[in-house]
Amino acid sequence: MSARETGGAPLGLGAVELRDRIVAGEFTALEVTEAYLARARELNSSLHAYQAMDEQRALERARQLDQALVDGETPGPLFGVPIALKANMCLEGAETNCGSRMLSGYRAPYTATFVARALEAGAVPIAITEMDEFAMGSSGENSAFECPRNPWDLARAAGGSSSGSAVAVAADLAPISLGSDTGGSVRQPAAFCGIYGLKPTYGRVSRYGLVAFGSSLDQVSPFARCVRDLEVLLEVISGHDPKDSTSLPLEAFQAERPAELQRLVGLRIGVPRQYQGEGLDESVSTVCDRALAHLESLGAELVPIDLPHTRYAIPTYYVVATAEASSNLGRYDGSLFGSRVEGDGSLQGMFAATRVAGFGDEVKRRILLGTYVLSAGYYEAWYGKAQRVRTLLRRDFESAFESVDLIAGPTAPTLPFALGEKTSDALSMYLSDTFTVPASLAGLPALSLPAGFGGAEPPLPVGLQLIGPALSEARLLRVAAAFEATTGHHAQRPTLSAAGGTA
Amino acid sequence: MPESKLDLLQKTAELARLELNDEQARALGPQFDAILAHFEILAAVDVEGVPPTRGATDLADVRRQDLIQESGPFEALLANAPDRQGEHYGVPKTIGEGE
Amino acid sequence: MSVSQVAGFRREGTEWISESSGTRWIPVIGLEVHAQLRTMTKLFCGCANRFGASPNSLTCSVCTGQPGTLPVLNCDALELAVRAALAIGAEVAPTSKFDRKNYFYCDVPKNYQITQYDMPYCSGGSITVPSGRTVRLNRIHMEEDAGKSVHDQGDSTLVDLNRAGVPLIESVTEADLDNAEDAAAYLSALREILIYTGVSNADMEKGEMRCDVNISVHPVGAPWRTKVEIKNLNSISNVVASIEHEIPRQIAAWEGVGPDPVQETRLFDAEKGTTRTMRSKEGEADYRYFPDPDLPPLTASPAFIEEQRAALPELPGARRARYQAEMGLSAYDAGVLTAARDVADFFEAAARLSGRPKEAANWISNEILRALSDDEYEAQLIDELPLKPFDLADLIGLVDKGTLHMSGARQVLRQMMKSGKAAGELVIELGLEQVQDDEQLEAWCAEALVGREAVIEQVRGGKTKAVGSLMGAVMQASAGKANPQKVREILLRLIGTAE
Repeated sequence: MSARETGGAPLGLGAVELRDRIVAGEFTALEVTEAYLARARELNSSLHAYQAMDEQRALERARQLDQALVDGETPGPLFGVPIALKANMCLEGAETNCGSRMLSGYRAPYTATFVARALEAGAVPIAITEMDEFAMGSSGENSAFECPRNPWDLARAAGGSSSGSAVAVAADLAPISLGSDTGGSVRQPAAFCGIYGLKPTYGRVSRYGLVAFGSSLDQVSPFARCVRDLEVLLEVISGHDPKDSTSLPLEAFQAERPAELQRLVGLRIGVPRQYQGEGLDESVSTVCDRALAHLESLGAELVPIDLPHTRYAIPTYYVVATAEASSNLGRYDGSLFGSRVEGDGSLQGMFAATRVAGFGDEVKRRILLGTYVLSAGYYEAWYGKAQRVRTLLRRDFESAFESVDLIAGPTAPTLPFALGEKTSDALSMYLSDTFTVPASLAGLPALSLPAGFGGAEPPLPVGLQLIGPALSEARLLRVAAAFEATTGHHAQRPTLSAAGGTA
Repeated sequence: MPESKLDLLQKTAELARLELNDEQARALGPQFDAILAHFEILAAVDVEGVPPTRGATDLADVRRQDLIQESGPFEALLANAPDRQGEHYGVPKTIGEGE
Repeated sequence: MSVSQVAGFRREGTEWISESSGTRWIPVIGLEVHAQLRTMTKLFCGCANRFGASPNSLTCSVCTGQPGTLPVLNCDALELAVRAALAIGAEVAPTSKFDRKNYFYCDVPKNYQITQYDMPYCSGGSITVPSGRTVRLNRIHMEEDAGKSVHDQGDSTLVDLNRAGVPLIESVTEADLDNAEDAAAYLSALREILIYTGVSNADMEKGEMRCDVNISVHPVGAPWRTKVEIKNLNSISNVVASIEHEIPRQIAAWEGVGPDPVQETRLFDAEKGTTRTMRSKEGEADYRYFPDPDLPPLTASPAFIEEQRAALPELPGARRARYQAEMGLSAYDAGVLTAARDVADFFEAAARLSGRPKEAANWISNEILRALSDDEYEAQLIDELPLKPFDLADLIGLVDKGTLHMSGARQVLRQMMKSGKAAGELVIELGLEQVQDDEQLEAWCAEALVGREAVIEQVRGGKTKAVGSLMGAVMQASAGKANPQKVREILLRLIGTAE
């Protein structure tokens, strides 16, 4: 990216470049942390990306890193790089409230495996980001606290549920951040904010320390402004973790990083018929078609394909995810941690009063839905059925990948929508996940890249989603890198001022 | 929304320890209904002979050695308790309730 | 166990005959037993699996259900569970999985219990009790234990999660029982197997083994009626008492004017010896079971199953039969020796080394086991004694060779159990070596005959047994060192009677 004129301040750089320049002695980790804290203090009141910054902790860590460098320790791949963490990620002693009143004040008693790995690599956690409550939402509006704003138009949604993490990177409140993607919660906000978001293959990154929403779908996922940063962050956080029984027994991910960019000759890209037409905004499809044409110009072959069960993905996803959530969120009852409301004085009364007061409407709606689909007499018709249809959705991808190397299409069906536009209609909010949930249900890696801009005033970012077979992250990143090297969309940044609003 | 469905909604809420008063149930009911109505398309899918997906990986037999790890951190765990009673977690009296 | 008399009923076999109506009632009983597995750590985290620690000192982020934590299955728990299954001849399922049982309670930190619902790891198997009845098992599954709530302090219930996550197996019988005696016998047999195989300590006082009873009654020849579940039974005698109370209660309810028994869960009150309603069927939770997405399925390969089978010791029943048939022990001795696995192992080693199973059995049951309950000795378990099986074999050999007589051997054994010194060493140390010198023996014998004409006459008259009273005097004179066999020979020779 073209580094902004910052008067020598270390802002606007990518994570890898920043790390190299710290190691080279151009800046200290402390200077970098201070510069980012200052920028966040200036802009966060209009963006609401961050719900909390522990400035002392960040500065103390930066000082320690600088000392370590002096002492001759080998700097890790994220040495001195500020990183923002979603509020559902455990960092010992930090407030992990999941955007919920229920966990307001809850201090994580341990550190997540992926956070520990980021620390090991030298990253500096700089802030905890705003999110839809318990990662349930597509706009950030379900946060019990502040709703993050889209930096391209503050009246619009940044996407969700990893809203704050996406906004932070898009607005350069941090070079990189982590979100979690259950049904699109990283890819959709990446698309809405004009940055990269990569949901890895399920099992690639340990879930230990990520507060569970839909356990068979959740994956910790990096945000970045360039492909290089995205792959380094995935390298750092991935790899087998004995604390997560669903973690794949693999070494950490290693990107290919070819010496020179490869053309995409011989690459077969499947374009699903089901990812076009009904419900897809014209402004989005125009940008995506142009992006696909660009990939074709780089040598790729576009192949129309069918994913016949796509229309069942939304109900399947919402049955499976809410069922798992209804159980995962059972523990929030006021007994051992989190907030408590006494109620009628009985134990069960306390549980109910606590949950009624502690959860927001969307979380309640989903818990009810999930409880319903698992309850006696309804299980087979709903949960049982959904898990079978899920098998069909996985098979759709399996047969598609017999003839194509990856699948491409829009990440989200619309441009970033106006805040408040969909809050009254849960179903239409659910339907906006149409293109992202299939890969989640199949456990496949999927990447959203900045494909261009659509709409009129102001132009808004559009994301192109690449979906690959299991463990094909390197392929997705190679294609994204080729696209990045030959386009300039990723380098465009929103202009922001402290006063609020885009200048 | 018919009473029987409201009833079902309230039963479900009870099961989930999310009390709904009549007014809330009436407000939530139509949304719930609309969502389920949309999801009804699942009923038409032919899944004869299709096994359910059980988890997103093909892993099996994941186990750990039977080795003691340090327990705790006790202070950090108890510090989060809404009603800490010494080394115990305190909750409202449960006489006559429970499993 | 004696059959208790209940007013208003006559008992014939397992039938209960109502004196008012004359109806013959027969009970139908099934048992569900929870047993804690004897692992080092809990089922899904590395906290120690130990009883009696201070509150919440054996808890971590995982077993307190902190957000973001995940379970990882304890390998040994699975192995022990499989061994229990093999020990009762059950079938280990080629694939099984864990499910979540969702319900809200303060001692279940996640508000779901990880258990096995529709694909348990084991099905079938049976145990035959002494009455000859075979009790079939329906299934055994693995699950995690709940914590404990303490109710008797102040305004709050206090929650201790040390037990939360401790590995359990729950075994469920078919409704094959019809009386309390067989139920008790089944529990004893199951308990013995669990202890013997090292699967569980099964100490009911510590809650390591707990039992629920399912029970109904129906007139002979009529269809089965509504069953009631009795929970919270923490001793075999409570199981017996609850059954003996519940049968007449249900019959009275069916025959009386009041409401018929309903499907419900009842709690046993050990102090009153009665049961009371805990919750009715309508109040029963809908547990919303579904497969736990955090835990991949389990497979049991034939090789894994054979490995576990090979790790099983010979079970007490089989050992008892072998001791009687091959070693000629009495049923009583065989029973004593097989009651605990370490004792049986000790016995078998000593019997093999000495070649004298009966003698080894006598020494163990008459001397060694008695010493274990005697404060004079520090050991409480046979393995804790400094005396090892080869020491006992040595001692038996010394007696055999005539080096030691029985009373001397007893002295030596007691010292061996305290000091661990070798038998030969103690014989010398205690000066117990038998006097074999014929001249010395003859001198003692001659002395013993002085003034005992009456006895001599008796012996001469054919009552050779009477020589015993003369032997006592010789033994006394020799301070127990005379070889009794030789003394007898010499006395008879001196009296002039040869046998």
